[in-house]
Amino acid sequence: MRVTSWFRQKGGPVFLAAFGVLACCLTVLPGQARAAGVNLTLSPLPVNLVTSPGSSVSTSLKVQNSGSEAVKLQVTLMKFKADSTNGQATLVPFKDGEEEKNWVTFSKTNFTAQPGVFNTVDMTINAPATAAFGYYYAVVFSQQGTDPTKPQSNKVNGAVASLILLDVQAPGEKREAQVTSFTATKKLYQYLPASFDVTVKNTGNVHVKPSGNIFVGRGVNGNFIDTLTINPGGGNILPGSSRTFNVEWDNGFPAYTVKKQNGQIVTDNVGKPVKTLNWNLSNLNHLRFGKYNASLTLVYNDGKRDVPVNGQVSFWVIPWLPILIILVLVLLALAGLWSMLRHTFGTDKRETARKRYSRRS
Amino acid sequence: MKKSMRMLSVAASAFVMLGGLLAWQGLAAAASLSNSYLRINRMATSTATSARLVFKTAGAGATSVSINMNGADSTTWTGASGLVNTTQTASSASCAADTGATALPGTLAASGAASTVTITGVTALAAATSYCVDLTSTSAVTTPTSAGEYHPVVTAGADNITVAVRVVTNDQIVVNAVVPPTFNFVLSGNTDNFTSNLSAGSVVKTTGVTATVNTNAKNGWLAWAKDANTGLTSTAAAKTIASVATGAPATLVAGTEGYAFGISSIAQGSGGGTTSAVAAYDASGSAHGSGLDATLRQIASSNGTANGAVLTLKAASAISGSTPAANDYTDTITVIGAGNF
Repeated sequence: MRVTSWFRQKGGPVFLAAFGVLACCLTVLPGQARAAGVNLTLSPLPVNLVTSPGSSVSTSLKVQNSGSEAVKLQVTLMKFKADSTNGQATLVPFKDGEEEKNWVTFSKTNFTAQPGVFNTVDMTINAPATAAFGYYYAVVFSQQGTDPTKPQSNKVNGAVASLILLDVQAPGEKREAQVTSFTATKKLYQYLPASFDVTVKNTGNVHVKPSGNIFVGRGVNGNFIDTLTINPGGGNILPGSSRTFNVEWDNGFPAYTVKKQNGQIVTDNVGKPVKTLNWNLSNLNHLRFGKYNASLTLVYNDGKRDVPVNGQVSFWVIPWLPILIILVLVLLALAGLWSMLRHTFGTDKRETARKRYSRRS
Repeated sequence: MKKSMRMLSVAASAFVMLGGLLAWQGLAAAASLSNSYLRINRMATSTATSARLVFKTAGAGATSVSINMNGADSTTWTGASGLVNTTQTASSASCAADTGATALPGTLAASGAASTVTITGVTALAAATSYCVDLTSTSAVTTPTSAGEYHPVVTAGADNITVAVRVVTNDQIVVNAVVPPTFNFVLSGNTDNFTSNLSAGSVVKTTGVTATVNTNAKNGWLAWAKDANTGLTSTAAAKTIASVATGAPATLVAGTEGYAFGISSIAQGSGGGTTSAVAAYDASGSAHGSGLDATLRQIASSNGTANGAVLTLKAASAISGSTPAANDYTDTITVIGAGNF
């Protein structure tokens, strides 16, 4: 109060303007001590729940304060949807009128998490008789009661979220998926890995979890060299969205591998893993050359049976650089040999001609 | 006198004969091996197994060793459907170190017949010495169908001993464990200061906070961010230095107001996944990231497990010469991490 009146008396606005013009700077002074941050561990993830209309289902979410000091946590319910461009989860708050928010109750929504202790929060979903098919919740655990925003600094809050996939099995549920794209990322690879993108669209009304294999071989049928697994982590695809699964075939000689130093992945200046060509001679029998076919067999369960989806793509592996080097070396050797022979026999011819000339003269 | 002499003679004869008999008994009778055991490497009923024999000799000179699994009593191995394989392999290469006994010497060969395994090619054994040998075939013997104690007889040369072997219904303990999927998210601090006062002459960044992720989630993980003010807000100046547009990378220009948030660097750690910043929020190059607002925007993702994946998060701001001076410009950024679905 006294500062304010002093400020007014001394012509605060003028002083402020002068400060702004002279210093042309503002706010956020450096050097403030950092707060403690947050260290949270969440399990399990994600959570798949199944129920029927008019029934309830529960799950236990466990969150641990992995830091060294007790923290107050709050539980917030959001929903998630698949991003239209990449199929990845986007967290969004519930809108007014979205009833599924009211179906959910938690055993506690505010609690103090002691260091090193897993705290169990029971989540119960009471699906009404009108509920049907897929609902996707995100339960966010965040710090509560932290220091209010301080001037001259940015405040950064941390939180963890558990994604909950609820399947309310009702008549009319449709589990359906389509492979919209199966491609090799290149038509020609110099060295492995060869990389395949399998894009699957969920055309049903509840999430699906496709799985399957890519069989790599010379021909279309049989004689497969390798079998690759699609979606080994059991990722889901939400209704109406697509998800691309990337699968790499790296069983070759030579092959690019991620460079590691002391067990840590080496990255370039933009944070991407550095890959080096690995000439592991024990893999010499895995030299890849020529045309290969990749046959896709993807399977999803439609609720009654496994439904297979097939696809096929071909690609080439030609290690053209070493071939070019070998060709150049062979050509150089041949040129050297030819030159040597020419020199040898050419000298003889010249010698013979000189002798003939001598005899004539 | 004659009678006395005759009695003495008879006594002497009896003494000599008794002594001779005792001496003969001592030479010819089999002695007992000692400190002996036969360890079958699986004790469960009806299970094929290898075995280890350890015994201590009494006398010297034995050049063969045999194990009669049936033994001498009624608890017969083969009588309870136990088996002795006809094909046997014997080795003493590794037993000495384990048992402290002497490796059975010689060029060992072994064979099985009926209830007996015989090891031949043994170099003459020394007296009072512990020896060991392994019947290395995983089906050297097959345990009987009936659990109980069996008494095989081990013979080395002329010496032997009965040992006890126990066969049980189940000899294994199955250990089960669950490693639950977990997601650990560490934010290094809750306050992030600009490295200097904002100036129209330069773009100023914050010191940065790090977000470290450790997870065994095979599907990888995601991180989102939002802010409270859609910019840097000063209450005193009633001014917000607005966030640049969301969803597209921005490079701030000194002298032009702007506020952006981005990931200035990524350390991959040692997990199986590759962490990458969403293009809009990649501030590793000349760009400063993108704008934040009240909507959670995905800023990074990984396609697999993470062990010490570290994102360095920084905000950056530029002001113009007319940006009002104030010392309370601030923003609150919330960063959320989750395992992918």
